[in-house]
Amino acid sequence: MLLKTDPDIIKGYLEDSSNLGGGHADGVYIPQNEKEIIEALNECNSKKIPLTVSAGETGTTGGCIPFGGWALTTQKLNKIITLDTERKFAVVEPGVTLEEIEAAVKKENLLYPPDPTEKTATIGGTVSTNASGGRGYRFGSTRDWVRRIKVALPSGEILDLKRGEKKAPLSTISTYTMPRVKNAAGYFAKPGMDLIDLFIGQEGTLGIISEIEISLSPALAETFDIVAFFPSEKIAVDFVLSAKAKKDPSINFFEFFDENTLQMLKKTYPHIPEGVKAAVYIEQEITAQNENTYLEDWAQLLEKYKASIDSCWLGMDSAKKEELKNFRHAIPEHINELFKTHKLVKLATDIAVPTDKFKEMYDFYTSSLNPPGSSLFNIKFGHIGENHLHVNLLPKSSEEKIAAKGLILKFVKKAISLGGTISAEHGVGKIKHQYLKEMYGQAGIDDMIRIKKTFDPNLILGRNNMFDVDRKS
Amino acid sequence: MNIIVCIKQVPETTEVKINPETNTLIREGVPAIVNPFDENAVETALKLREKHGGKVTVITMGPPQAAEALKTTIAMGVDDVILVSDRAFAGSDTWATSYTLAQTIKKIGAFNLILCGKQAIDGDTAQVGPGIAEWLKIPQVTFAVKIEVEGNKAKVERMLEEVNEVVETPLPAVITVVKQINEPRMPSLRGMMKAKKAQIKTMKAEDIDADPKNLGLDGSPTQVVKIFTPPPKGGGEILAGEPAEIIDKLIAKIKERKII
Repeated sequence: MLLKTDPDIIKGYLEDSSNLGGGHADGVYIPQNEKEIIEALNECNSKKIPLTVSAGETGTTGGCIPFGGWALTTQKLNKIITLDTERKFAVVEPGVTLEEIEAAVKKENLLYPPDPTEKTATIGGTVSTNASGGRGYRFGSTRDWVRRIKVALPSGEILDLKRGEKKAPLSTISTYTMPRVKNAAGYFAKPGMDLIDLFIGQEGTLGIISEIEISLSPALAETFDIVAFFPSEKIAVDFVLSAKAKKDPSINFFEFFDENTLQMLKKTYPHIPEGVKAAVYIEQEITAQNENTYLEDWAQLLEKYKASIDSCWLGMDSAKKEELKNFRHAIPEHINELFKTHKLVKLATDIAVPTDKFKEMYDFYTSSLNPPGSSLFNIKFGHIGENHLHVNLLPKSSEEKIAAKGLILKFVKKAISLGGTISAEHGVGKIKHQYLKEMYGQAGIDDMIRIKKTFDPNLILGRNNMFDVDRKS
Repeated sequence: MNIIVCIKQVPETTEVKINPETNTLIREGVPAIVNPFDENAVETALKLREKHGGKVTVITMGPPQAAEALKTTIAMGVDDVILVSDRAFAGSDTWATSYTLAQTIKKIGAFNLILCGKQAIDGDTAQVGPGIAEWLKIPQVTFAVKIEVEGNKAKVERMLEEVNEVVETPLPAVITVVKQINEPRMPSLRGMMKAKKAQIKTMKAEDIDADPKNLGLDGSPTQVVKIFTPPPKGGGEILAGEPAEIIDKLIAKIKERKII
């Protein structure tokens, strides 16, 4: 197996999008097949060496960053093994990227619906974190599209887990109740659950995923995309809630841009109209028969909520739709730039709450973020269709940093009180331990550590992802 | 101020495939778009209208399906569009195309400014804009990156390879624009609803008083002898392995190609 101990090479495995510093490792395993994954596991397990799995390094919570021991990268496990166009599924190795899957299935007129924004993310990484993206509104999270996985355990054993074929033993199900929203925080736990679900969203703490079978859907029919601009954030929120109430299954997503997001983007996108305070981006699936009806319906609803249909953007051909996609993708790119410039660890929420509580949560954000005299720069954007906004804070001084951390904890507590989650799609990683504990309590954390020990008794895998295994409770 | 913008419908190049047997573009199933530089021309026209008032008319010569490209410009907010379409125009080179468009412009009359994109991304000739100016016997300014209109004059900054050049031209004139001139606006929802319902006005050869000997394939002095795809440039080669191995491989390659 390929092993690297050159510090310059190791350096390439110590970062992700979290800006979490201080990572270090003694070396990197680069397995090219399952056998080599087992070799690495056997070696680390017998010597009790920590082992951290690294994939696309696009995560935002430091999950792939090792703090000691060795890293194992899935980058050479990058083959699409099977693409069955008849029965609409694919078997892939964990290091295949989402863009590679997209390119392969698109040719066959198929779609792998989960769409995390970063297309260089790997399928293994997205299964490990149960990632999702904008279209989660219609298609759900990664979990909903994974039908079988193979997992290599620290013992060297391989689990072949097919959905519907192996129930999770009672001892591996946490006793807490998960929030009824899109969720990527903590081990999956539901009475009667499949064992496969424990390993989806485990953040590399229980085993190393060596093969994945994903379901595919027929490619979407035509779509059109609208970006509509509103005179206030409140009206934009009301618009989304009203549009969602129609429960139209052909809407793929609703994305939200608050006033500060639009201000930030204005330099790159000068056509953002003057004086607007919020925007909503919608993708609507259409057919030749209903296209005009949908255009009329959206126009009517938008006008009711004071969004000018003269200034809202409409993408109908692929080039224009791509431009709108880039407009949405520009948000995290701009923010990451800002965080990098100010050398800040990302201070961002990943909170989702139930639909009937979203307005309360939104009002709470607004009143907490903008008290008189506060200059803390903040922006809110994201998957409003799933009641899931990312609030990003950019403190410019140590006082502001303390205030920002306090605010995020306040949001976390509020979301939990409303039945929401502290992480809907990014996972917990190394930076949200405290929030996970707020959500499931120390008992919940202890439960997870107990489950981890049944698969990883020497606590070598993904150390300090989700919870601190060294800390005595 | 009345502005006429000439546009072309082109295949979206990112999706273009070549038929390996005939070496011609496969256009079936390839999405068609408005030539990107022409969208800049439309945006320029809309901005000038915002400042000076008047009317923006977009024309295109092409098959009936080119009406879709015109609809995109309606959705961007232009006032009027005309499709110049006739079997007699088939096979036009840049000479015949610029003649046909110039005849159409004469027919429309009352214009202060003609705008075009600097070139089309499929043919890449950049000849049609200047050709129109010649047929109309009016001045032409190419590669505009900035246009300021004052009365009957326009001050135009041209983007050349090494330097930018500012020239002044009397109007009417033909000005072709580069993509750096602006960021074309997205079509609006109201615009698209208007476009969907729009009846596209079509002009045929007889409507533009065209001399048949200047039209189509027969009217085209340029004859295409052969179309072929040039052999692709060899991509770079990345040598993999341990540094010592790589060095050996590299030395072998250098010897093999007799570079030293």
